[in-house]
Amino acid sequence: MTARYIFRRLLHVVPAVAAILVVTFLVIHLAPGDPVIAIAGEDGDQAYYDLMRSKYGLDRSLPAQFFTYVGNVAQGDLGVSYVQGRSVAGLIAERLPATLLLMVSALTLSTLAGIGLGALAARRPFGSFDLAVTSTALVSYAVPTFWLAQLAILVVAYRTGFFPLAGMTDVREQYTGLAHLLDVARHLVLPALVLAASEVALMARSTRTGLIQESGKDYVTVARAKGLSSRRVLVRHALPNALLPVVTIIGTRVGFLFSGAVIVETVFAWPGMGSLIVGAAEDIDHPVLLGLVLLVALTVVFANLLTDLVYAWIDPRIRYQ
Amino acid sequence: MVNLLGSRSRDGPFPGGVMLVERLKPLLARLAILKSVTKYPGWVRRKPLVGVPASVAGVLALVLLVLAVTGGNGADKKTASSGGASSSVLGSEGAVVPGETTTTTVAPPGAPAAAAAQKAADKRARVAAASRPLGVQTRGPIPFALPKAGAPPVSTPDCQKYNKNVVVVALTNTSAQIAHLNPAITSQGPIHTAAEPMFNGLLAYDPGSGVYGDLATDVVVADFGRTYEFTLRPGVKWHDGKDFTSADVKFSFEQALLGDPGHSRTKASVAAALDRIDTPGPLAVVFRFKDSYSPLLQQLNVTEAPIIPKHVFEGNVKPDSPPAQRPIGTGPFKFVSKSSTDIRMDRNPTYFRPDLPCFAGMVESFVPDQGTQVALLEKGDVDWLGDVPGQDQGPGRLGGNRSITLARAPRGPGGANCITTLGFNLTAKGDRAGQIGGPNPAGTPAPHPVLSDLNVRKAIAYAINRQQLLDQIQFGIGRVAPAPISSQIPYAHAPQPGMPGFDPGLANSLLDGAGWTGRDGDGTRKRGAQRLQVDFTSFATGLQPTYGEAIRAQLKAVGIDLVTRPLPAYEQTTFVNRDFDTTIVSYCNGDDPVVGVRRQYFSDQVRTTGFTNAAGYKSPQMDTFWNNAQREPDQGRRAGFYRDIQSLAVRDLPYFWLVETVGTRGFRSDCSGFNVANTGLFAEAAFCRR
Repeated sequence: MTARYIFRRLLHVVPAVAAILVVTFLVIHLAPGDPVIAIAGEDGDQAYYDLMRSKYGLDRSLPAQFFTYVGNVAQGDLGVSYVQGRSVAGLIAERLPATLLLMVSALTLSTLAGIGLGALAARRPFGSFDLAVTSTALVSYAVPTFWLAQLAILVVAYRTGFFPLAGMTDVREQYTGLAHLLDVARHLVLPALVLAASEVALMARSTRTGLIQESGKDYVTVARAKGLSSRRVLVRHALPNALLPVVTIIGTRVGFLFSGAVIVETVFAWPGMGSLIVGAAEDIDHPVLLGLVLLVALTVVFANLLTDLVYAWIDPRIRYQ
Repeated sequence: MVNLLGSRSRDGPFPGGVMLVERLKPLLARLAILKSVTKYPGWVRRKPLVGVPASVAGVLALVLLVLAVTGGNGADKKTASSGGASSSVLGSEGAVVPGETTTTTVAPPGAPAAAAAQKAADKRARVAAASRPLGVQTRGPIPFALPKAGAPPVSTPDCQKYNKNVVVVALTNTSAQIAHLNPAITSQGPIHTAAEPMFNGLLAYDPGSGVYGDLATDVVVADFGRTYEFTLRPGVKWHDGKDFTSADVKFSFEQALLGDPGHSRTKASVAAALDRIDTPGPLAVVFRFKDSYSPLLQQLNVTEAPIIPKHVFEGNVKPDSPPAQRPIGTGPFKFVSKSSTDIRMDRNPTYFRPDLPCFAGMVESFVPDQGTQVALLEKGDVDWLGDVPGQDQGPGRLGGNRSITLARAPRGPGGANCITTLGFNLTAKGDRAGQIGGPNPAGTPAPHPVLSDLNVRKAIAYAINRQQLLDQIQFGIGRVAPAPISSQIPYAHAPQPGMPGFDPGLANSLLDGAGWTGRDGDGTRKRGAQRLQVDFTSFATGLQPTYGEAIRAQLKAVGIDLVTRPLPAYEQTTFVNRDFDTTIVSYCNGDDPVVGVRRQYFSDQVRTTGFTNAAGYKSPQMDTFWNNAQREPDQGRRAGFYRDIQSLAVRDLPYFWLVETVGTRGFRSDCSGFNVANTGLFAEAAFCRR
């Protein structure tokens, strides 16, 4: 039963998240530095520091702080940022759409382009197109994201002027409606391409390898013998089977996309969660860091669940009990 | 008056629950006006997604549509529901201008020409009052020289001609790091950079002309330099329309600047010396000091002492208080919104300097990556960068770009005339005895087992190649420090012949003489079983970790093992816990040694406050010199005491002064009028010819 399977998998999420919470909480609190300095400034007096400590519960023992935090999280309360004095959920909600837009665009882009290029390359293995795709993929997978991002800004945006250099919207003009959407789209293209670059490479190579392996199998020979066109054999018969490992890759790459997004957002001044993570880490803002780590962890866990379900959908032989 | 920036602010998320159809309405309306759009170059003259396959474009469009429907980062409710109304702005190249909308009025029949003449005369009087230099008077003998009085900025015909532009500034920090916008309760550079354009000080400083009146118009210095009587500018309004009075000044000092947490530099210098602040009238403020106090007029600008409104901030002077998020000031620009992308400000239409500022508004855009900032400036998307990185100033980049102007100034939002300094901890690592604010202020700390030896400190100084640090880290911008007091304070600066130069041979023989003759496997010197290893604390970001790596390599050559410790909690570790051997500090000297130099050397500055006496240096002779210098009326004789202070400092070597740093501003060459030395009010009288 799929429903029972989903329920069971969801139950697995609970210990996973609990473990993540314990580890992150400990690691963050073991890091050097006193958040009270970040809250109260460099030159506060002891009384104010004490007031702030008791206000944020920092004067209590670590286990007590932990259980209060877990209790609050269970009720959907991620706490209040030490530095900004605003709710963590509010801060994340403010930044989430921008990061989501960037990540979903990059993921969609890399999936479509990766599978498409991989399939085209697999039509004539070791042909010139294949060589071009595989070698380009190798390079783009090897290039560090931050360097590619700066290169994109300097070469593509600055020299050609096709795309804006940075940001999510035009700084001078504030558009509304459709003009606003197109403005965001123009700003989105380069960061999404840069973030997608290494993923495209990975997916193109996996698709290609999978297809080449599949095309040696009996059912492909049978399909060919039936007189089907080679494109039909490739797309309808071999591709779904070749995609199984690709789906796994997509699921596991969600976490990497997050970390890539932090870099891309910093270089392109994209107002997503990346800058929130960097700022919170520098300011020792525990609640914000914990909230963000929790969010990323949950996203990865659910991406894996989704992967397994898509697996079953692509390959009817797989049945979850 | 229609307010372009104000009506389009994007602070706050789009409220949920708005129906999809409401969301799409303006989009459909926009479709209808597409043809009439002439301004926007990106999608009318050009295909929007050049070079991207159609399928990809489709996907992006889909994602965008989803986003628009969920409203994650779209326009706020106000703009969404008034899409039709705002179309005129989009299609007419900023036809709606904040602040300076000119309205054609028909004079009533028979209106006397005298009224118009009177109005013109009033304005001339206002302009004349605003452009008057600071009135400085003395009553009785004053034991120190007063700074030169300079002229304030005034509007020009070009300023008024090009008054429709919005100036775009890039900030290096992220939105989250600008935790609040109250510059009176912190000396943090990022917050000051962001907030200062919205505030004023009592006075302002222009290195070309001198000190000029900002919120104050006149000052009388009396009672042997113990009393400063300020006359405040009449008719100044806060951004919320309330009157600015002397109560605001008293409040700003007593509750904010000198309160807790407070402004560290102003608090360190003024708090101990100040007796009280009186307000004999709504436009009169009197500062009474316990003893004659010379530097006050140089530390009243918006960077050192911004004035905030009492009626807004009373009881709300902590960093997490709500008014600090939406500040009210008197400054040339007033707050509109702060979002994850930028801080937006409008021109303050009631600014006390007539016809200023020239800009219709200011946008501070958060661009964390400096490489991106430079590219934005080159492309013209940004008009002003407060700090251009050294590597981008060469002739290959900005230096050779005629549409960019670079200007250097030895001051920034972190203070003026800074010297990057290596500090030696003279007391045992982690020993907090004798530290004011620490657990045992009356105690005596143990001496540092290695660094209390003057010969080891000297050896480290001789082993450091300062010219190499200047060339490789600062790209040659600035100068090797010739003395403990900055060369930018000419009267007090005295070049020191005894300052250690680069001489590794001398360093080696000093270490040999100090008993560090053994060597272990990696070439580090040993004395008995003890390795010559010291640590080095610094900020984790910026150039300081680079200094650490360079100095580590230089000291390795003479057998010293320097362990670099870049720390997120640098101030806590170094100044509160005193848990370090050596450290790097950018000591900003200010415009007088009392402002920023005394804190390094005076014995009562060994305290838990950041950026004070890091060395833990206590010398009765040094304290006497400072007391003499502060009491000495004659500037020539005072300079003599500063000479003594500097030669004693070089003799005792609690610090080693590396590089006098200089900030580089960069701006579009079609803009002028920027005050490159004034961090807060840099754009007060600037404009761009476009």
